[in-house]
Amino acid sequence: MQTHNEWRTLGLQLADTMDTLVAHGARTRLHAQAAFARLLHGKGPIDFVTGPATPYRVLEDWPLARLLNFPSAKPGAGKPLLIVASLINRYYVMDLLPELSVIALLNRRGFDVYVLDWKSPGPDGPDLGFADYVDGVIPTAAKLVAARHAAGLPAVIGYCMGGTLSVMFAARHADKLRALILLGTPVEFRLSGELYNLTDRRRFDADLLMDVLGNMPPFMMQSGFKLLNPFDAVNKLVSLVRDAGDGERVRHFVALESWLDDNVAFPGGVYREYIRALYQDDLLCKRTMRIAGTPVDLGKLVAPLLNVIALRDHICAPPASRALMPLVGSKEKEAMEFDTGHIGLTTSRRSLAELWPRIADWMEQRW
Amino acid sequence: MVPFDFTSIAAQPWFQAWQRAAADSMAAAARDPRVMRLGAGLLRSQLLWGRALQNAWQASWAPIDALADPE
Repeated sequence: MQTHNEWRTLGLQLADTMDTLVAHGARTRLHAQAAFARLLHGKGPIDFVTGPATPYRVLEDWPLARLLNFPSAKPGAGKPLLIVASLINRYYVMDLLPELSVIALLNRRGFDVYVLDWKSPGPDGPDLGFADYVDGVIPTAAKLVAARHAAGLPAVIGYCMGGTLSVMFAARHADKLRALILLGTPVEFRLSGELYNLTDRRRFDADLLMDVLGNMPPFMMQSGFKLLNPFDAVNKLVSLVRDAGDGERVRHFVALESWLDDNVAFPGGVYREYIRALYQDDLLCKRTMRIAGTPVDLGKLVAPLLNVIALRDHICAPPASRALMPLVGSKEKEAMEFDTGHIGLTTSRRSLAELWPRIADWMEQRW
Repeated sequence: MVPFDFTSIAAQPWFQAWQRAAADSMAAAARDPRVMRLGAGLLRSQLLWGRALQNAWQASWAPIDALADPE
Protein backbone atom coordinates (compact mmCIF):
# COMPACT_ATOMS: atom_id res chain seq x y z
CA MET A 1 0.00 0.00 0.00
CA GLN A 2 1.37 3.39 -0.98
CA THR A 3 -0.88 5.73 0.95
CA HIS A 4 0.81 8.93 -0.21
CA ASN A 5 0.20 7.90 -3.82
CA GLU A 6 -3.49 7.50 -3.06
CA TRP A 7 -3.50 11.07 -1.78
CA ARG A 8 -1.91 12.18 -5.05
CA THR A 9 -4.54 10.29 -7.06
CA LEU A 10 -7.27 11.90 -4.98
CA GLY A 11 -5.68 15.33 -5.53
CA LEU A 12 -5.63 14.91 -9.31
CA GLN A 13 -9.25 13.70 -9.32
CA LEU A 14 -10.23 16.68 -7.20
CA ALA A 15 -8.40 19.01 -9.61
CA ASP A 16 -10.49 17.65 -12.50
CA THR A 17 -13.70 18.24 -10.56
CA MET A 18 -12.55 21.78 -9.74
CA ASP A 19 -11.88 22.44 -13.46
CA THR A 20 -15.45 21.43 -14.29
CA LEU A 21 -16.84 23.63 -11.53
CA VAL A 22 -14.69 26.56 -12.68
CA ALA A 23 -16.01 26.17 -16.24
CA HIS A 24 -19.64 26.20 -15.04
CA GLY A 25 -18.88 29.12 -12.74
CA ALA A 26 -17.31 31.09 -15.58
CA ARG A 27 -20.34 30.55 -17.81
CA THR A 28 -22.65 31.79 -15.06
CA ARG A 29 -20.39 34.79 -14.33
CA LEU A 30 -20.29 35.74 -18.00
CA HIS A 31 -24.08 35.63 -18.23
CA ALA A 32 -24.31 37.84 -15.15
CA GLN A 33 -21.79 40.32 -16.62
CA ALA A 34 -23.68 40.32 -19.90
CA ALA A 35 -27.01 40.87 -18.13
CA PHE A 36 -25.55 43.84 -16.22
CA ALA A 37 -24.09 45.32 -19.41
CA ARG A 38 -27.47 44.89 -21.15
CA LEU A 39 -29.17 46.57 -18.22
CA LEU A 40 -26.96 49.64 -18.77
CA HIS A 41 -28.43 49.79 -22.27
CA GLY A 42 -31.97 49.39 -20.91
CA LYS A 43 -32.29 45.85 -22.33
CA GLY A 44 -33.14 42.47 -20.85
CA PRO A 45 -30.73 39.53 -20.45
CA ILE A 46 -29.96 37.16 -23.32
CA ASP A 47 -31.13 33.54 -23.38
CA PHE A 48 -28.73 31.16 -21.64
CA VAL A 49 -26.00 30.04 -24.02
CA THR A 50 -25.10 26.41 -23.36
CA GLY A 51 -22.01 24.61 -24.70
CA PRO A 52 -22.16 22.71 -27.99
CA ALA A 53 -24.95 23.88 -30.31
CA THR A 54 -25.44 20.81 -32.52
CA PRO A 55 -26.89 17.54 -31.20
CA TYR A 56 -24.59 14.52 -31.42
CA ARG A 57 -24.35 10.83 -30.67
CA VAL A 58 -21.65 9.41 -28.41
CA LEU A 59 -20.19 6.47 -30.30
CA GLU A 60 -17.40 5.58 -27.89
CA ASP A 61 -16.46 6.62 -24.39
CA TRP A 62 -12.78 5.85 -23.89
CA PRO A 63 -10.74 6.87 -20.84
CA LEU A 64 -9.00 9.67 -22.76
CA ALA A 65 -11.73 10.85 -25.11
CA ARG A 66 -15.27 10.46 -26.32
CA LEU A 67 -15.90 9.85 -30.01
CA LEU A 68 -18.85 11.97 -31.06
CA ASN A 69 -20.80 11.74 -34.29
CA PHE A 70 -22.64 14.59 -36.00
CA PRO A 71 -24.46 12.87 -38.88
CA SER A 72 -24.62 14.48 -42.29
CA ALA A 73 -27.80 16.18 -43.45
CA LYS A 74 -27.87 13.64 -46.29
CA PRO A 75 -28.18 10.28 -44.49
CA GLY A 76 -26.03 7.48 -45.87
CA ALA A 77 -24.21 9.73 -48.31
CA GLY A 78 -21.90 11.38 -45.81
CA LYS A 79 -18.20 11.61 -46.38
CA PRO A 80 -16.44 10.86 -43.08
CA LEU A 81 -14.46 13.59 -41.41
CA LEU A 82 -12.59 13.23 -38.11
CA ILE A 83 -11.84 16.38 -36.10
CA VAL A 84 -8.93 16.34 -33.65
CA ALA A 85 -9.15 19.33 -31.32
CA SER A 86 -6.35 20.67 -29.16
CA LEU A 87 -5.73 18.45 -26.13
CA ILE A 88 -6.49 21.26 -23.69
CA ASN A 89 -9.60 22.69 -25.37
CA ARG A 90 -13.10 21.40 -25.82
CA TYR A 91 -14.01 20.73 -29.45
CA TYR A 92 -17.09 22.96 -29.48
CA VAL A 93 -15.17 26.04 -30.54
CA MET A 94 -16.26 24.58 -33.90
CA ASP A 95 -19.88 24.47 -32.72
CA LEU A 96 -20.38 27.57 -30.60
CA LEU A 97 -23.83 28.71 -31.69
CA PRO A 98 -26.37 27.30 -34.14
CA GLU A 99 -25.68 30.16 -36.57
CA LEU A 100 -21.94 30.01 -35.96
CA SER A 101 -21.06 26.36 -36.26
CA VAL A 102 -18.38 24.89 -38.50
CA ILE A 103 -19.72 21.40 -37.73
CA ALA A 104 -23.25 22.33 -38.85
CA LEU A 105 -21.80 23.86 -42.03
CA LEU A 106 -19.84 20.68 -42.78
CA ASN A 107 -22.97 18.59 -42.12
CA ARG A 108 -24.89 20.71 -44.61
CA ARG A 109 -22.13 20.15 -47.15
CA GLY A 110 -22.60 16.38 -46.84
CA PHE A 111 -19.83 15.46 -44.41
CA ASP A 112 -20.44 13.00 -41.61
CA VAL A 113 -18.50 14.66 -38.83
CA TYR A 114 -16.76 12.72 -36.06
CA VAL A 115 -15.05 14.51 -33.20
CA LEU A 116 -12.57 13.44 -30.54
CA ASP A 117 -13.75 15.23 -27.40
CA TRP A 118 -10.79 15.01 -25.01
CA LYS A 119 -11.48 14.16 -21.38
CA SER A 120 -9.59 15.29 -18.31
CA PRO A 121 -6.67 12.89 -17.86
CA GLY A 122 -7.00 12.60 -14.07
CA PRO A 123 -4.50 10.42 -12.16
CA ASP A 124 -3.35 8.70 -15.39
CA GLY A 125 -2.13 11.98 -16.89
CA PRO A 126 1.46 11.94 -15.57
CA ASP A 127 2.06 8.53 -17.22
CA LEU A 128 0.60 9.39 -20.62
CA GLY A 129 2.71 10.28 -23.64
CA PHE A 130 2.29 11.24 -27.29
CA ALA A 131 2.15 7.53 -28.13
CA ASP A 132 -1.18 7.16 -26.29
CA TYR A 133 -2.71 9.70 -28.65
CA VAL A 134 -0.74 9.49 -31.91
CA ASP A 135 -0.56 5.67 -31.95
CA GLY A 136 -3.55 5.06 -29.69
CA VAL A 137 -6.74 7.09 -29.63
CA ILE A 138 -6.46 8.83 -33.02
CA PRO A 139 -5.75 5.76 -35.22
CA THR A 140 -8.36 3.75 -33.29
CA ALA A 141 -10.95 6.45 -33.97
CA ALA A 142 -9.93 6.75 -37.64
CA LYS A 143 -10.24 2.97 -38.10
CA LEU A 144 -13.62 2.91 -36.40
CA VAL A 145 -14.91 5.77 -38.54
CA ALA A 146 -13.63 4.16 -41.76
CA ALA A 147 -15.40 0.90 -40.86
CA ARG A 148 -18.73 2.75 -40.65
CA HIS A 149 -18.54 4.26 -44.12
CA ALA A 150 -18.69 2.91 -47.62
CA ALA A 151 -16.94 6.15 -48.60
CA GLY A 152 -13.84 4.74 -46.92
CA LEU A 153 -11.09 6.49 -45.03
CA PRO A 154 -11.88 9.73 -43.23
CA ALA A 155 -10.29 13.09 -43.87
CA VAL A 156 -8.73 14.39 -40.65
CA ILE A 157 -8.96 18.00 -39.47
CA GLY A 158 -6.46 18.98 -36.77
CA TYR A 159 -6.74 22.29 -34.96
CA CYS A 160 -3.86 23.94 -33.09
CA MET A 161 -2.13 21.29 -30.97
CA GLY A 162 -4.62 18.78 -32.37
CA GLY A 163 -3.05 19.64 -35.73
CA THR A 164 0.42 18.82 -34.45
CA LEU A 165 -0.89 15.48 -33.15
CA SER A 166 -2.58 14.89 -36.52
CA VAL A 167 0.65 15.62 -38.41
CA MET A 168 2.45 12.97 -36.35
CA PHE A 169 -0.47 10.55 -36.74
CA ALA A 170 -0.55 11.08 -40.52
CA ALA A 171 3.20 10.50 -40.76
CA ARG A 172 2.99 7.26 -38.77
CA HIS A 173 -0.35 5.88 -39.99
CA ALA A 174 -0.52 6.99 -43.63
CA ASP A 175 -2.94 4.15 -44.42
CA LYS A 176 -5.60 5.41 -42.02
CA LEU A 177 -6.59 8.76 -43.53
CA ARG A 178 -7.70 10.15 -46.87
CA ALA A 179 -6.52 13.75 -46.47
CA LEU A 180 -5.17 16.04 -43.76
CA ILE A 181 -6.46 19.54 -43.06
CA LEU A 182 -4.57 21.63 -40.52
CA LEU A 183 -5.77 24.80 -38.80
CA GLY A 184 -3.31 27.09 -37.02
CA THR A 185 -0.88 24.23 -36.51
CA PRO A 186 2.66 24.87 -35.27
CA VAL A 187 5.39 22.64 -36.65
CA GLU A 188 8.57 24.72 -36.41
CA PHE A 189 8.06 25.85 -32.84
CA ARG A 190 10.93 28.33 -32.64
CA LEU A 191 8.95 30.46 -35.10
CA SER A 192 5.68 30.27 -33.17
CA GLY A 193 6.05 33.64 -31.44
CA GLU A 194 5.65 34.64 -27.81
CA LEU A 195 4.73 31.18 -26.53
CA TYR A 196 8.15 30.03 -27.67
CA ASN A 197 9.78 32.82 -25.61
CA LEU A 198 7.67 31.93 -22.57
CA THR A 199 8.85 28.33 -22.69
CA ASP A 200 12.52 29.19 -23.24
CA ARG A 201 14.56 26.40 -21.64
CA ARG A 202 16.73 28.93 -19.74
CA ARG A 203 13.70 30.03 -17.74
CA PHE A 204 11.08 27.33 -18.03
CA ASP A 205 11.36 23.89 -16.44
CA ALA A 206 8.44 21.73 -17.57
CA ASP A 207 9.70 18.75 -15.58
CA LEU A 208 9.73 20.65 -12.30
CA LEU A 209 6.24 21.97 -13.04
CA MET A 210 4.88 18.49 -13.72
CA ASP A 211 6.75 16.95 -10.76
CA VAL A 212 4.75 19.25 -8.52
CA LEU A 213 1.42 19.50 -10.32
CA GLY A 214 1.06 16.09 -12.00
CA ASN A 215 -1.06 17.48 -14.84
CA MET A 216 -1.00 21.02 -16.20
CA PRO A 217 -4.15 22.64 -14.79
CA PRO A 218 -6.18 24.90 -17.08
CA PHE A 219 -5.69 27.99 -14.91
CA MET A 220 -1.90 27.71 -15.36
CA MET A 221 -2.28 27.26 -19.11
CA GLN A 222 -4.64 30.22 -19.20
CA SER A 223 -2.18 32.43 -17.35
CA GLY A 224 0.37 31.72 -20.11
CA PHE A 225 -2.09 32.68 -22.84
CA LYS A 226 -3.14 35.79 -20.92
CA LEU A 227 0.47 36.92 -20.80
CA LEU A 228 0.41 37.12 -24.59
CA ASN A 229 -2.05 40.01 -24.32
CA PRO A 230 -2.33 41.09 -20.68
CA PHE A 231 -4.75 43.97 -21.30
CA ASP A 232 -7.18 41.79 -23.25
CA ALA A 233 -9.45 41.18 -20.25
CA VAL A 234 -10.05 44.95 -19.88
CA ASN A 235 -10.58 45.41 -23.62
CA LYS A 236 -13.15 42.62 -23.62
CA LEU A 237 -15.11 44.14 -20.75
CA VAL A 238 -15.10 47.56 -22.43
CA SER A 239 -16.35 45.99 -25.67
CA LEU A 240 -19.04 44.09 -23.80
CA VAL A 241 -20.40 47.18 -22.08
CA ARG A 242 -20.14 49.27 -25.25
CA ASP A 243 -21.82 46.71 -27.54
CA ALA A 244 -24.30 45.18 -25.10
CA GLY A 245 -27.23 46.76 -26.95
CA ASP A 246 -26.71 44.22 -29.75
CA GLY A 247 -28.08 40.90 -28.46
CA GLU A 248 -26.36 38.83 -31.16
CA ARG A 249 -22.93 40.23 -30.31
CA VAL A 250 -23.52 39.54 -26.62
CA ARG A 251 -24.50 35.94 -27.34
CA HIS A 252 -21.35 35.49 -29.40
CA PHE A 253 -19.26 37.06 -26.65
CA VAL A 254 -20.72 34.85 -23.91
CA ALA A 255 -20.45 31.69 -26.03
CA LEU A 256 -16.82 32.33 -26.96
CA GLU A 257 -15.67 33.43 -23.52
CA SER A 258 -17.44 30.48 -21.88
CA TRP A 259 -15.60 28.16 -24.24
CA LEU A 260 -12.30 29.85 -23.39
CA ASP A 261 -12.89 29.05 -19.71
CA ASP A 262 -13.94 25.45 -20.38
CA ASN A 263 -10.69 23.50 -20.65
CA VAL A 264 -9.33 20.11 -19.74
CA ALA A 265 -6.04 19.62 -17.95
CA PHE A 266 -2.99 18.92 -20.09
CA PRO A 267 -1.83 15.35 -19.30
CA GLY A 268 1.45 15.73 -17.39
CA GLY A 269 3.44 13.18 -19.39
CA VAL A 270 2.37 14.67 -22.71
CA TYR A 271 3.12 18.17 -21.43
CA ARG A 272 6.71 17.21 -20.62
CA GLU A 273 7.17 15.78 -24.12
CA TYR A 274 5.37 18.68 -25.80
CA ILE A 275 7.47 21.38 -24.16
CA ARG A 276 10.81 19.59 -24.26
CA ALA A 277 10.68 17.87 -27.65
CA LEU A 278 8.69 20.46 -29.56
CA TYR A 279 8.96 23.93 -28.00
CA GLN A 280 12.47 23.62 -26.60
CA ASP A 281 14.20 21.17 -28.98
CA ASP A 282 12.04 21.62 -32.09
CA LEU A 283 12.56 17.97 -32.98
CA LEU A 284 9.61 17.60 -35.35
CA CYS A 285 10.94 19.94 -38.01
CA LYS A 286 14.49 18.68 -37.46
CA ARG A 287 13.13 15.22 -38.37
CA THR A 288 14.54 13.75 -35.17
CA MET A 289 11.28 13.43 -33.23
CA ARG A 290 10.68 9.99 -31.75
CA ILE A 291 7.54 8.55 -30.22
CA ALA A 292 7.84 5.41 -28.11
CA GLY A 293 11.33 4.94 -29.49
CA THR A 294 10.42 5.08 -33.18
CA PRO A 295 10.99 8.10 -35.44
CA VAL A 296 8.31 10.46 -36.76
CA ASP A 297 9.37 10.97 -40.37
CA LEU A 298 7.40 13.82 -41.93
CA GLY A 299 8.50 12.56 -45.34
CA LYS A 300 6.09 9.67 -44.75
CA LEU A 301 3.17 12.09 -44.52
CA VAL A 302 1.87 11.46 -48.03
CA ALA A 303 -1.84 12.23 -47.66
CA PRO A 304 -3.16 15.27 -49.56
CA LEU A 305 -2.52 18.23 -47.29
CA LEU A 306 -4.35 21.52 -46.81
CA ASN A 307 -2.57 23.80 -44.35
CA VAL A 308 -4.83 26.67 -43.25
CA ILE A 309 -2.85 29.54 -41.78
CA ALA A 310 -4.30 32.51 -39.88
CA LEU A 311 -2.31 35.62 -40.70
CA ARG A 312 -2.99 37.27 -37.33
CA ASP A 313 -2.40 34.14 -35.26
CA HIS A 314 -0.66 35.05 -31.97
CA ILE A 315 -0.56 31.48 -30.65
CA CYS A 316 0.91 29.89 -33.77
CA ALA A 317 2.60 32.59 -35.85
CA PRO A 318 2.23 31.91 -39.60
CA PRO A 319 5.92 30.98 -40.21
CA ALA A 320 5.59 28.14 -37.66
CA SER A 321 2.86 26.57 -39.85
CA ARG A 322 4.34 27.40 -43.25
CA ALA A 323 7.47 25.47 -42.27
CA LEU A 324 5.56 22.19 -42.68
CA MET A 325 5.08 22.50 -46.42
CA PRO A 326 8.60 21.57 -47.64
CA LEU A 327 8.95 18.81 -45.02
CA VAL A 328 6.08 16.53 -46.03
CA GLY A 329 6.03 13.88 -48.72
CA SER A 330 2.51 14.77 -49.98
CA LYS A 331 2.25 15.31 -53.72
CA GLU A 332 -0.94 17.34 -53.32
CA LYS A 333 -0.34 20.11 -50.82
CA GLU A 334 -1.69 23.60 -50.47
CA ALA A 335 -1.25 26.39 -47.94
CA MET A 336 -4.40 28.52 -47.58
CA GLU A 337 -3.79 31.82 -45.80
CA PHE A 338 -6.63 33.83 -44.32
CA ASP A 339 -6.65 37.19 -42.57
CA THR A 340 -7.94 36.29 -39.11
CA GLY A 341 -6.68 35.26 -35.67
CA HIS A 342 -6.13 31.81 -34.16
CA ILE A 343 -9.66 31.40 -32.79
CA GLY A 344 -11.20 33.47 -35.57
CA LEU A 345 -10.46 30.53 -37.90
CA THR A 346 -13.51 28.77 -36.51
CA THR A 347 -15.53 31.44 -34.70
CA SER A 348 -15.72 34.47 -36.95
CA ARG A 349 -18.67 35.03 -39.26
CA ARG A 350 -16.28 35.95 -42.06
CA SER A 351 -14.40 32.63 -41.73
CA LEU A 352 -17.68 30.73 -41.92
CA ALA A 353 -18.79 32.70 -44.97
CA GLU A 354 -15.50 32.83 -46.88
CA LEU A 355 -12.95 30.32 -45.56
CA TRP A 356 -14.92 27.18 -44.70
CA PRO A 357 -16.73 26.88 -48.05
CA ARG A 358 -13.25 26.86 -49.67
CA ILE A 359 -12.03 24.20 -47.22
CA ALA A 360 -15.17 22.11 -47.88
CA ASP A 361 -14.60 22.46 -51.66
CA TRP A 362 -11.01 21.26 -51.25
CA MET A 363 -12.13 18.29 -49.17
CA GLU A 364 -14.91 17.30 -51.60
CA GLN A 365 -12.34 17.03 -54.38
CA ARG A 366 -10.52 14.35 -52.38
CA TRP A 367 -13.36 11.83 -52.78
CA MET B 1 -34.61 55.03 -21.76
CA VAL B 2 -30.90 54.23 -21.62
CA PRO B 3 -29.74 54.72 -18.02
CA PHE B 4 -26.05 54.87 -18.92
CA ASP B 5 -24.72 55.31 -22.41
CA PHE B 6 -21.21 53.92 -22.24
CA THR B 7 -21.01 53.94 -26.02
CA SER B 8 -20.43 57.68 -26.02
CA ILE B 9 -17.33 57.24 -23.84
CA ALA B 10 -16.01 53.97 -25.26
CA ALA B 11 -16.33 55.22 -28.83
CA GLN B 12 -14.38 58.43 -28.14
CA PRO B 13 -11.03 58.59 -29.95
CA TRP B 14 -9.24 59.59 -26.73
CA PHE B 15 -10.63 56.55 -24.91
CA GLN B 16 -9.62 54.18 -27.70
CA ALA B 17 -6.16 55.76 -27.83
CA TRP B 18 -5.85 55.19 -24.08
CA GLN B 19 -6.92 51.56 -24.48
CA ARG B 20 -4.31 50.98 -27.19
CA ALA B 21 -1.57 52.69 -25.21
CA ALA B 22 -2.40 50.74 -22.05
CA ALA B 23 -2.49 47.44 -23.97
CA ASP B 24 0.85 48.18 -25.67
CA SER B 25 2.60 49.20 -22.45
CA MET B 26 1.30 46.17 -20.54
CA ALA B 27 2.36 43.81 -23.32
CA ALA B 28 5.80 45.47 -23.43
CA ALA B 29 6.14 45.14 -19.64
CA ALA B 30 5.15 41.46 -19.73
CA ARG B 31 7.72 40.75 -22.46
CA ASP B 32 10.54 42.67 -20.82
CA PRO B 33 13.33 40.12 -20.24
CA ARG B 34 13.79 41.34 -16.64
CA VAL B 35 10.08 40.82 -15.89
CA MET B 36 10.16 37.40 -17.52
CA ARG B 37 13.22 36.45 -15.48
CA LEU B 38 11.54 37.68 -12.30
CA GLY B 39 8.31 35.80 -13.08
CA ALA B 40 10.18 32.61 -13.95
CA GLY B 41 12.24 32.91 -10.76
CA LEU B 42 9.14 33.36 -8.59
CA LEU B 43 7.42 30.41 -10.25
CA ARG B 44 10.53 28.28 -9.87
CA SER B 45 10.96 29.08 -6.18
CA GLN B 46 7.29 28.29 -5.57
CA LEU B 47 7.62 24.98 -7.40
CA LEU B 48 10.79 24.05 -5.55
CA TRP B 49 8.99 24.69 -2.25
CA GLY B 50 6.10 22.61 -3.53
CA ARG B 51 8.38 19.74 -4.49
CA ALA B 52 10.20 19.89 -1.15
CA LEU B 53 6.88 19.73 0.72
CA GLN B 54 5.71 16.83 -1.45
CA ASN B 55 8.95 14.94 -0.80
CA ALA B 56 8.64 15.58 2.94
CA TRP B 57 5.02 14.36 2.85
CA GLN B 58 6.04 11.27 0.93
CA ALA B 59 8.90 10.54 3.33
CA SER B 60 6.58 10.93 6.31
CA TRP B 61 4.55 7.99 5.02
CA ALA B 62 7.54 5.69 4.67
CA PRO B 63 7.20 4.03 8.12
CA ILE B 64 3.48 3.45 7.60
CA ASP B 65 4.05 2.05 4.12
CA ALA B 66 6.79 -0.21 5.48
CA LEU B 67 4.47 -1.50 8.22
CA ALA B 68 1.64 -2.08 5.76
CA ASP B 69 3.84 -3.78 3.17
CA PRO B 70 6.81 -5.53 4.87
CA GLU B 71 8.15 -6.69 1.45
